[in-house]
Amino acid sequence: MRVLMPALLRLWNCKQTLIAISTLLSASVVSGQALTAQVLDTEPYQEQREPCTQQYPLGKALFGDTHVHTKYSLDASTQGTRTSPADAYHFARGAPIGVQPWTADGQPLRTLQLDRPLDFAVVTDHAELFGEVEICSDPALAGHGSWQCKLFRHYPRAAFFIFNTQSSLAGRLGFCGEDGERCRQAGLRPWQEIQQAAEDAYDRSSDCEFTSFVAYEWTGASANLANLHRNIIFKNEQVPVLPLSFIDTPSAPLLWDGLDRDCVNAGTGCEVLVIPHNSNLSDGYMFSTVRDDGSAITAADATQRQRLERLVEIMQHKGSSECFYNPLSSADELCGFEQLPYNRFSGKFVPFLREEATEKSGFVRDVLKEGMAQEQRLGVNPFKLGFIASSDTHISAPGAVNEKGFLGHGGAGVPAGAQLPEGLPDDLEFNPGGLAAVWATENSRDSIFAAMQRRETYATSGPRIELRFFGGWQLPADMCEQQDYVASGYEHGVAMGGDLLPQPAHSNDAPVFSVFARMDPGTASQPGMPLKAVQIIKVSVGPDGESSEQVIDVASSDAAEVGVDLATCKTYGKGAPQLCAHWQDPNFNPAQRAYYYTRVLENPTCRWSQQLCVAAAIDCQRPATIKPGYESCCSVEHRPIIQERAWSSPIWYAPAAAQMDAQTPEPRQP
Amino acid sequence: MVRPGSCADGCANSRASPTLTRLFRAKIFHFMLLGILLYGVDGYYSRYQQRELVCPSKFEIDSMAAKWAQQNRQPMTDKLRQALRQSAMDEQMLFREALIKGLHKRDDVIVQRLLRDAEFLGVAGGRGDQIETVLAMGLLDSDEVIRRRLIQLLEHRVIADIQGQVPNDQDLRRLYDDNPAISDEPPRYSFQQRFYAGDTAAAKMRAEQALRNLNGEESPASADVFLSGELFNQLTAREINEIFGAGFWSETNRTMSLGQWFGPVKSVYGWHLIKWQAYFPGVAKDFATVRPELNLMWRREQQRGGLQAYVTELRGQYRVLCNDEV
Repeated sequence: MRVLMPALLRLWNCKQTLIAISTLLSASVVSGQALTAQVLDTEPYQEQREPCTQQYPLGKALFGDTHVHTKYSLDASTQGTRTSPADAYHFARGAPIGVQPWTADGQPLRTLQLDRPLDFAVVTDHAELFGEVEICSDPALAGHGSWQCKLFRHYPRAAFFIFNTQSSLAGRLGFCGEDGERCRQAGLRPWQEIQQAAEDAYDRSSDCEFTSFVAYEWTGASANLANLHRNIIFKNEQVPVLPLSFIDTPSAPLLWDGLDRDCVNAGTGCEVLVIPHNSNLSDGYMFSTVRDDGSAITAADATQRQRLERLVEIMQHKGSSECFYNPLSSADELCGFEQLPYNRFSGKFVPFLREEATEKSGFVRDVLKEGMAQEQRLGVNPFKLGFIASSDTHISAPGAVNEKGFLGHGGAGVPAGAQLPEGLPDDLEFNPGGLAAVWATENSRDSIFAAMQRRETYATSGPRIELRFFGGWQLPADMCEQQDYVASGYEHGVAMGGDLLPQPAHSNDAPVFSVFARMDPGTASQPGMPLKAVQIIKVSVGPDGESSEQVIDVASSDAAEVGVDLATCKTYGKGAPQLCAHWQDPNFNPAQRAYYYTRVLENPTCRWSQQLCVAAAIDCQRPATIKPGYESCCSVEHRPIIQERAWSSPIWYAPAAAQMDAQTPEPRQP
Repeated sequence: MVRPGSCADGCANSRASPTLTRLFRAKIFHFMLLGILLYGVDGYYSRYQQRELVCPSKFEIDSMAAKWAQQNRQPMTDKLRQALRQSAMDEQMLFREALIKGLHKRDDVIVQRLLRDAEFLGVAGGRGDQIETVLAMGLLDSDEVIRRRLIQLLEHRVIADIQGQVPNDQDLRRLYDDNPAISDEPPRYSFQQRFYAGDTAAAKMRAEQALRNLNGEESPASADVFLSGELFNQLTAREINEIFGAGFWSETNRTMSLGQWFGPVKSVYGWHLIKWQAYFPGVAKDFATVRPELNLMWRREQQRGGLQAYVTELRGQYRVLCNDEV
């Protein structure tokens, strides 16, 4: 270690990064330490670009938004969104963006601007023109009165036939011709523009200020209209000629096969990640353990899935997917965070389709547990997912995730110089969405994509909390007091998203975890909130299939009383600027598979809705103050308080030998 | 010299003239000419007929305004109502123009969608018949997907016409001069920091004590752990403030002393002792360096302007029928 650290310090300051990396390699040899993930993606670039001046050998948390819709998504354009993928990238880099409505000479009447630019962004417009369900479900949308939508509302069985069963539609009507080629060709124009916008926005200079990726959203649905949506993100400009939409590949397995055919095995250098989102609306179908023909998935299926689906979007505009919450039976009350009152989006608008979520709805915590159960059966974990969050904005506004001033992601924005809106700008159950954070060694496509692939990522509900999470067998007990905390974590353990290394021989010790969180410093206009607590969540599955779940408070601020005055939205009480904890699992059973992740909580604040209710001087005790548009402020469903948070990707443990999955890069031997 | 009556170079013409004369006198020619004329007039009249917009009625505008206000919770103003009205009419106009240009007949997505509609409605016949039938039923107007698709197709055609253009140096120079931010390369700083947790006086005293106790040591002792580390390399002021909180940089900058420890400086996390290690002055990027970005900017400007000019020109070709005031 004495040798390793000076090398790291030299690397930090040295412009000649390659020389420093060589030094680090030498240091690793001398110290006998295995090289850790943070230096693995400092390989020569797999693309044409200048080397980045700024190198972060121990990683830097880069914040981005991997879920952004522009005018090319039907459900955005029908709400008046005219801004393009290029506009979205400009916005992410700090430029203002126009928001509908538009004047006769094409000028927006409102503008929106981030107070802190993003490090990266990904435009993910729908690959299909499959916005019908949303259009027909939402009276505010322009196509609501079309004959197809009337059919949808009055004859759902017929609409089901028209809207959803794509495979039968494609087969019967030849929607895209016999081989589907005609329809895909028709999508070329937007696809080319999306690629060009990503290319134009990507900073290939040595400044490395901003990264974009070519991407799209595969907008699939199950037979009962449950959500199967996935974002498809390509590593570089080597992408398929045409995006594979739900029309082309009407099931997730067909999508993976198609991506393997058109990207991974195409011999073009194409690499791809698939990121499912909103499993909270999937009614359990998003992470199915059966194939399209109804048979159980095989080890090959699980391997393919694990290789392509490395991350899951755990939180966004349409709620949190972390864990199921039942106020009467849930032990983990913090699961009651940004929950939707229905388990499918169709249930929002069609009363007789509305069902509340259940344990089987497909929340991520349960899905990861099922993944370990499948791993016992198959030898491969199909659901080995790291976490990110994003906005799912439909106004081309990546990263617009502040509670303050939130005016909806579905056709609204902050009015330029105007007063606060007179009413709630979005449905009560929605929220501004979150951010994706990745631990990258530089701001480039190679580095960010590599971090996503090794799942060294975390999610936040909006704040830019910095979060480290390490696991190992011999993490130093005083790690939180070490100035080289991060280097020590990599040296003695694995970072978030990884597998615990094999237990040392002749050791009966339980694994140790270390978590360190730093509050979001905020901005001049919106100071950050201090931290309240850090938790570790452990989920295990025994050989007999029996599972357990624990939520452990491992660190908290010393503040005796913290809270928020709902009448003014002023917060009170102290919090912690940083929290660090060292925790050894006291109930560790080496025979059980387990995963561990951490949840960091800020002090509570007013939710976006309450901030607007307070600004409008709504007093629910005095009905005369409840103006039109503000009725929701006083409804029983209204959640006035939010406790913003971050979720690390998990660290997995498997008995006997830690399961190093097929794609996790092996530590390179110097 | 050409004598009168000779046919030096005009014999062929003089020989052809009777043929042309016969053609011009032929009834079949007159019939064809009339046909072409009628075809042209009919086409012009047909486009004239189609290039007619109906203003949204007051009721429709009210409905749009109410829907918009419900969605956006913004007070509805006259300016907003005008914008909504104009937006609705422009959409109607672009949709009509795309139909006039026959874009719906050449786009596979629209054709297949029409076939899907026809199939669902049980329209019999071949593909051509099915499409004609659903077109006659006016389904194009009511299908929002087709409407949006046609408008986007038309916009793409307009943009494609612009894309061949290349900016000259003068265009790019103008953008370079008008957008100083594009060439602005802010100064960067490298520094080391030592952290003393807490916003209390005691924390500040610890930092001050550590600074006093330096005594030639390389680094102040007994500091706390700061998650983001001790060393920061070539950061701009914005990047520094994004780590330590707003205002941190400006305060430290005022007391900057290269190579010397100074402080304590307050951040949102506590107190810091700082040693600036290197300063990289800001520079203005020259024209050649930012040329690619200027090219992009120009292209976006052209696209926006081209689309707007097209819409404005098209408005002049459409008759507008309004029955009531907005």
